[in-house]
Amino acid sequence: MRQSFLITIFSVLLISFTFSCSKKSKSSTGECSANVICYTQEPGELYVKLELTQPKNNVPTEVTFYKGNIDKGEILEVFPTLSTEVVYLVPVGIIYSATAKYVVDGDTVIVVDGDKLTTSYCTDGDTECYDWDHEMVLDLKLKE
Amino acid sequence: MKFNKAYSLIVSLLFSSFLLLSPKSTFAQPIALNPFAGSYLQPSAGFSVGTLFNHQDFMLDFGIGYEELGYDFSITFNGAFRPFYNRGRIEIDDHLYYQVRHKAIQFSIDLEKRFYFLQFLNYNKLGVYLGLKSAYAWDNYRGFTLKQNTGFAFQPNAGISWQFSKVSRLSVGYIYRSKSTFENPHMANIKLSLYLNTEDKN
Repeated sequence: MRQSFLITIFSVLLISFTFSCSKKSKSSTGECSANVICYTQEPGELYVKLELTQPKNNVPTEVTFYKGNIDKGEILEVFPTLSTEVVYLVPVGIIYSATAKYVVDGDTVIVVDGDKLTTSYCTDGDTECYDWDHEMVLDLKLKE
Repeated sequence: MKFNKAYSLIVSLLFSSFLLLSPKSTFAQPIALNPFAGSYLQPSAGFSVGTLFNHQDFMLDFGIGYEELGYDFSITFNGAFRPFYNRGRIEIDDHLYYQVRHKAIQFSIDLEKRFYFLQFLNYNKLGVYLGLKSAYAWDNYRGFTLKQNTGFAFQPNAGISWQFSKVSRLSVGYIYRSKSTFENPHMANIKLSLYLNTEDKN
């Protein structure tokens, strides 16, 4: 009996660990700290920050920003930039992705990242307090 | 490489389990065993928790299945996954690469045969193991809808096995994780197995 119970518990843990990858539309950061102003209204738009590597020799990096994934998404913007950060204010609950094209020692490297933009909140008792400054970072930096 | 606190905790628990399960009497007078000699059939169920890792990658591996304690072999069903996104490059054409962030999931049937050559007075046993993972794996890339199927692969493994009476077993060894999309395929493997229905603890 005890062994069957252990096997069941272990199997449930195994399955839940393995399939715990799906992302919800909002995520909790736990209890709110004392100095937080509580905004109970959920934001409709939040920030997506693209982080880029500083281009060498002043050759601009070509960045493409997509709504959806890059293989099935819609291109929102294509632009060259010398900046290391680009920020968009976009609707939440949608997957955004981006690519940055670099030339490294004669090789072209296209860095890809993407994720679903979700709202973030902390809890104050039974109240959910939303973070209106929450941003999702897409890491488009070159791997060292 | 950044490790989530929760997963670091699991790894720490693995190591501390090893320390807790190794009593002082483990180091009692050893007796040499014939590693190829079998005993009588002693079937048991068991589960395991382990890690596969090298300097580039880290995976958690959980298994459940059949443990034969008389003839020292096991057949288990395992599920492994990388608990964080790793970064790597794929060559898609001459001088053209994608640098992506990816997670991996792998299911496998694991076969393992152990050859114990030392037994201690408290019935702990020390030996080597040879194993084979028949694995099927998927990679999930951030920014892509596509889930890359890295396919079926045999992953041979070998190392040192320490059985603590007939309660648990610690294995430390090497595994060749072939068809690994980016990482170095040479990985270390640490695994703690627990037996569930052993009646005779000696």
